[in-house]
Amino acid sequence: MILVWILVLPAAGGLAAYFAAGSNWRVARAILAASMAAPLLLLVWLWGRHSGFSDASRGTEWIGQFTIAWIPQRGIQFALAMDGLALLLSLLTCLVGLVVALSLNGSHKLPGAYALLLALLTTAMLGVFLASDLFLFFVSYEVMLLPAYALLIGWGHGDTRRAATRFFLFTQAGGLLMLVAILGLHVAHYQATGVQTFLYRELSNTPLSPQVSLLFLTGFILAFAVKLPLVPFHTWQPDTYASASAETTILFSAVMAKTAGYGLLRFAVPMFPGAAETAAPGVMALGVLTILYASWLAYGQTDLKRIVAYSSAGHLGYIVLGAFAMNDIGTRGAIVQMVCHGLSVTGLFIAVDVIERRTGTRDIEQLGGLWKISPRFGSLALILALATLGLPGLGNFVGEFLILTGTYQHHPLGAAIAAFGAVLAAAYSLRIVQKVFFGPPKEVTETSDSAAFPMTICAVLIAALVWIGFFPQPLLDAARTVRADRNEALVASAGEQQ
Amino acid sequence: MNFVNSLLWTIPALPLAGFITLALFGDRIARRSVSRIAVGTVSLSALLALVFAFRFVTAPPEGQAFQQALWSWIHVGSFSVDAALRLDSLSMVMVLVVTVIGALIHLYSTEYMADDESYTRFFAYLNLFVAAMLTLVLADNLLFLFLGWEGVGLCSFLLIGFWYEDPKNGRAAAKAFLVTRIGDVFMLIGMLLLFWHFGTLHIQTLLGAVNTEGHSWHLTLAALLLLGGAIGKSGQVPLQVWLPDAMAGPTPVSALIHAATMVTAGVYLIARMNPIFIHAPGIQHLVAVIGAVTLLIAGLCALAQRDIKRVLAYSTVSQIGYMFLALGAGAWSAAMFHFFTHAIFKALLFMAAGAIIVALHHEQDMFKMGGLRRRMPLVFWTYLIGSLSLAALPLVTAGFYSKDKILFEVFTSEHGKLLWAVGVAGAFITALYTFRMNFLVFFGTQKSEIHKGTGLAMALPLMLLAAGATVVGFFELPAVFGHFTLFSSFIEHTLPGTHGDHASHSLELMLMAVSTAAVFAGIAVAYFIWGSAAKKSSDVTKRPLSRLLASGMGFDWLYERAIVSPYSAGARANAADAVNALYTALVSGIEAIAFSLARTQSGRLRWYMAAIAFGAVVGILLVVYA
Amino acid sequence: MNSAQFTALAPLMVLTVAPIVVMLLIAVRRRHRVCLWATLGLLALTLALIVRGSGKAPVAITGLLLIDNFALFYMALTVSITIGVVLLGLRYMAHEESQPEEYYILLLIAAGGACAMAASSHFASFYLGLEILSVAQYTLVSYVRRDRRGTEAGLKYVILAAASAAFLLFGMALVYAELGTMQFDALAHAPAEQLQNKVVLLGAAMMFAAIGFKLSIVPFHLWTADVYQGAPTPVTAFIATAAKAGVFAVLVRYFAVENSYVAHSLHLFVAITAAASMLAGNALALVQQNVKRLLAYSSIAHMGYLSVAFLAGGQMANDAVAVYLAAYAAATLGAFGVIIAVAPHIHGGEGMERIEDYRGFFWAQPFLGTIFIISLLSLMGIPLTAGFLGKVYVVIAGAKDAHWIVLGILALSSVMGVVYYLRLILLVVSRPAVERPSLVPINPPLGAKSVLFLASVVTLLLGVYPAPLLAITRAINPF
Repeated sequence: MILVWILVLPAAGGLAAYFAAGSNWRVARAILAASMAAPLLLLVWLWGRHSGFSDASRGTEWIGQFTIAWIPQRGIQFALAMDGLALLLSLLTCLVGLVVALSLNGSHKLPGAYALLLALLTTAMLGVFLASDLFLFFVSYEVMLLPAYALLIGWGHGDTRRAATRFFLFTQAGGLLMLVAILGLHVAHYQATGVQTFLYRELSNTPLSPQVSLLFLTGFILAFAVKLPLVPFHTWQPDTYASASAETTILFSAVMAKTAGYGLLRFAVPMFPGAAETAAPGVMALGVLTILYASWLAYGQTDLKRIVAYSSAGHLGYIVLGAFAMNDIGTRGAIVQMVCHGLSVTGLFIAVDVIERRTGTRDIEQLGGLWKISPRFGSLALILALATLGLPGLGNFVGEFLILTGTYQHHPLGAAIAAFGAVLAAAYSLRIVQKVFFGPPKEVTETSDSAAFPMTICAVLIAALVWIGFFPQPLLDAARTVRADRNEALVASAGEQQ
Repeated sequence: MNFVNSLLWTIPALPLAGFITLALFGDRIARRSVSRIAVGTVSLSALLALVFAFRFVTAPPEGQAFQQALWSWIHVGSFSVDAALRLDSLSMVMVLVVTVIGALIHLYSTEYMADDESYTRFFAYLNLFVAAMLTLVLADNLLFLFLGWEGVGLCSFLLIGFWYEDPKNGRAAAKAFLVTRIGDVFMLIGMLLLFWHFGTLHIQTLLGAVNTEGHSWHLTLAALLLLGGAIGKSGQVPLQVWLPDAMAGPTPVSALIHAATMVTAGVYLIARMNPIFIHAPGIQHLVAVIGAVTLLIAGLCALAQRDIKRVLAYSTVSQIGYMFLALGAGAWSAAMFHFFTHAIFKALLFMAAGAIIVALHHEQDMFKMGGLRRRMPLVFWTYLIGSLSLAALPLVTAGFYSKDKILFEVFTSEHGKLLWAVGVAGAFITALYTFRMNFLVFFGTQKSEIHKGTGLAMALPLMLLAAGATVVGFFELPAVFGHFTLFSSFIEHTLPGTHGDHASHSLELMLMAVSTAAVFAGIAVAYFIWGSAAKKSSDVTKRPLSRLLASGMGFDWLYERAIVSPYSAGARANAADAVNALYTALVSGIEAIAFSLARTQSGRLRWYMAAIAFGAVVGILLVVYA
Repeated sequence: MNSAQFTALAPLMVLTVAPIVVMLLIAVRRRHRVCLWATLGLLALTLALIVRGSGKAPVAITGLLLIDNFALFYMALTVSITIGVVLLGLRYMAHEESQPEEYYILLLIAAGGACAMAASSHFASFYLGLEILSVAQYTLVSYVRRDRRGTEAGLKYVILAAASAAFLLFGMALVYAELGTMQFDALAHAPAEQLQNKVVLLGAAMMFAAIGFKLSIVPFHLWTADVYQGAPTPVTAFIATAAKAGVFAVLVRYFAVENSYVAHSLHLFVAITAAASMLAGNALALVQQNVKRLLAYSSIAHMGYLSVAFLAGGQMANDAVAVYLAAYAAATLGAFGVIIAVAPHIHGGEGMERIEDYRGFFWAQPFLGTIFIISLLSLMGIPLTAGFLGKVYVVIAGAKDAHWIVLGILALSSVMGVVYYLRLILLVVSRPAVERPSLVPINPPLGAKSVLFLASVVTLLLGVYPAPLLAITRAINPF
């Protein structure tokens, strides 16, 4: 039942904010923040209660489950379940949600509606992370689109329609292919066993021919490849991030993109292990291509948001590697990477927002010498940039290193090429630092807008990243997925080989 | 383990604490306290290091190493890495150099940086650097070492770009970071390879396994990859291009990071992982070749520089080349000994140069100096001592003993004759550019005004190091001079011994004579060209050869053309992302089809009829005959 | 005729008598309101009788009709839609024609035809039902005499429908010639060896071509846009929904029989026309600027999706078609209802036919705008709307026999669908640049409002909690 609370609280808060706040952004902020903080606390409590689970219980222990019938005619259940993976990503969702809620301010029109949409998006994302019924998962995954689209259209700036429509279309294309795969799997399971179900644990035991298995996996992968995004399905992303409001961009990049990584780790690979092994070289090649190509594109941009957007794509390319590494190291590395990237990209977009507010531009060619004006802000931004380029001692390194380690086991060449992403990441990260913070101060229109609050948030995020960088073990211990039995055996045999 | 031994962690932790204090509360602390914190923490580390050194000799720890596990870092399945320290004789030497010279440079900086508005930031970075460098040398596993490795890279970046308002400095900083990172990635891949092949990153376990396994292609590849990391960090050919530009940082930084400590991390890495290289003889030989090529190229480049710091930078590259040469020839202790003496005399040279630069109001062009001998006697003498050590003046300088040990052992190693010849040629060039520098700066007519004298905080380190540059050579005397082997005996607790002991004394003397001759020849030629007032002003940088040398043999030019420009110009040209075209084409394709389909909606009845008939016929064919 | 048969037949009988009653009422006194109430009353009575009859099913009435739950479901669907159309079109027809009473007669006849089709078990009853429906439709399409577009569309429809009826008749004749029976059962359930004869297949193919015309499946679809655009909008709504329901009922019951030789032989034909419909329908809608034509083309695509369900056969086809049709009808009624409500001649504003006219619609008419958006989202197939459930069922049906290529086309052509629906939604919610007279607040009559509201409620309810409807679809399984 606690899972239902976690899922529903943000949405309830959003509705409350919508009806109570009207145009008063302070009220909206307070309600929204409370509705994000409450599930956050619940999640922390859950984590604390379950932090003791040992390696022996791995693969069997759920932190929480909840099931009621939804559409019994097709065996569809409103089934929620939480393991370490879901816990961490839910935690990230609520944390980022809280950050977003706290950054509401007077500059947003219709604060009540804005809060509602942000809250609905959060709930949909939590639904993705908590669903253990594939139908529920898919519904959540697709429903994310609606508030996301509304946020883009209503609160974005620039060419929002084009960007939003592209976003919608790309995601729909991937989503529908995944729908075909999910339903196909459902039917195949029914034909093989006579049981109608969408529970992924059941479905993962469906006997499938290799071809069909690969076909279904392709459907899943395409959906996630769009959302993550992987090259060449990435073109919606920079435009979308660039035209979305700061809060929306943060939710998109820090959490929504993770739903794809989550899907890969939770569904795509464990449900079709054989096919995943077949597809691994191709998918990983796309992952490596994404890392390098997106990093290269990031280097050529002048809009800070687009740089961060491409960098985000580059970093999420690693998650594909981790997921398809087919070993524990890669998987957990991918989970750590998702959490840390969520934290660091939140910080980066906050920093970008601060820069834009204070100077009126995001064009790095027009910026310069901000360090001189605000060394503290400069330091924070620098650390975030360092996290992006994967400096050891910050959480992102732990994730990327583990991913590369996991990848190397079966795909040494892929891991080696991907490792050079670190150089390209350094190139664009340092370019930001160089262009924006170094150099002589340029004419910047300093407004009275105090950056103390966003800077505090950034500092907290950085503290978390440093903590993960040096003491990642609690996170790694929690980063466990309860997998289906068939795959459990696979993991066990992989473990013996090591 | 007794109490003192359990304090091992404080050696890196003290500077780290200094950094954290300065970073968080820096703007609320008075300058005086800032320098106390910064210098104090590093000095305390140095003291502790000396205590450990003393204990190492008096009460050698079990297994010839102090060990301390700090916390469990990353454990995932079979992958397990802890944050743990290990202090053996090799790291002892490194720790001593880092802390003692670090402390002296901190002290020096209190005066050198006194007028800088970002005083606190400077010391914070410097403290962080010392902490990271100590982590690097004390780490007992490769990943923890990599943490320090990247940490020093970061500090190097921050300090090169310390005066960030000049975009040139920022570019130099980014260049340094990027070029070394290319090496780092190779090293990272090497770590992955080692982990999956041996199942661990713990250095001692790993090396044990390496010795058991013996020669294999895995090791050859691993050695090559580690070498990649080492040449990046240590500024060896072909990744040496960043180091001369790194001189954009404040001079104490050049002394500490880009001469004495960080740039020798590559040497440390290879020495530390020596069994891997020993079992990959091809790669080890490659190390020697890279060292030889580097020392020659860098020496030649140093000859054509105008900027005093760039001369020293190229000289550093060249001297590390000697260390690589030694490593490649299997002269492990000689390499470390040269590292040790080089750290002292190069730090001395940089700091003395810094004193000149400050005195001349940040003038770094040697052709605008001159005649400083009389005006700055202290600096002159200390600089001269350092220069002589660099040039390896026989008998009285530390540099002589270390370089001679290298040359001797290279000569006696397998295929060592040619490498030795290169080394001797390098010795000649070293003497040449060193004294070119001395003559240009200290002799002849004075061209610039002295703005400022040298205070105690700067003078004291100079004097101490000058003494060191003379004395430390006697730690290790060649066989002909009594075979006193304090240094190598100590370090050979960790590193393999040398093979040249069986060589005859006459050979040793003969080799010494040759290299001595080369050094004197170099000094003489330098005097002939730059020593007399008449020729001194002649600017040789106009000639093509000189231009080539001055620009670092065109490496920068080549990289710019071959890599940097294509990459950045390509990225700019593709800013709109060519992949978009794919979708644009798709959309226009669909629209074109849609429009042609729309034309079928002509409204004409007969056409509609025809379509129905057509459909029916096709349908019938499909149903009946398919 | 026993009492069970009487009970079962009662709804059809009421529906047959209804036009006569209305006609007599007109003869007595021509009053719009009276006719309206009589129509609504009779339709409501029919609905009530359908519900009452559901307990007694199945009942065969001679060889011609088979009243079972399946038939009753489609009859209920048709009658409900007709009620909806009547209420939605109320003001529209009153403004369009000074004497709109005969419109109700025609509508009742058409509904009767559709219901007869749903209950038919014999070629004759099927053909009769179809023709009753068609003839009523010709007239309805060109009901507005002064609208030349309507007249033209009606004429086109007559000629093309007549041609397709010829195909149907010829097909029936061929089947009869070979099998010696006009019972659908013979076609559906006869053993394969009896059906091996090419003539039977030829007949089946011709019948399917004729049905394809009614469903506006590519390449029999060319009339659709012209007729949808030319017809009075309430009639368009009827053609788009109720007319399709009856035809699909026959198709599912007799052509989608599992393991039937005929059904199997038709698969390739159906698969290709389905794929062509999905692609062409969506592509045509993509470049369409007229909102009625846009919905016409999109209905072609939807019929394509529905055909995929047909491929599965058996219970899956039954479930999928029932769910999809219900969802599609609710959403389509909602969308057309809004278009009817803002029809230009009602409030004297400028035209609301081009999609551009809907810019800022939501802000001027929040109620209608919301209904419109919900309907479009459902047509788009967004989760938590009925349309999504329909799509799920269709895909499940398609997956049954592993029609992956068709399903792939379904998925990707749906994306094309998203483009134009989304463009429309975007226009609806964007702020108008200038105040336009067409955006004065409109207050549709209560009846229309209730229908619209109900359509949206059904759309959302089916999306969120469809279990009750699915229980019904299980109960109506004809196999």
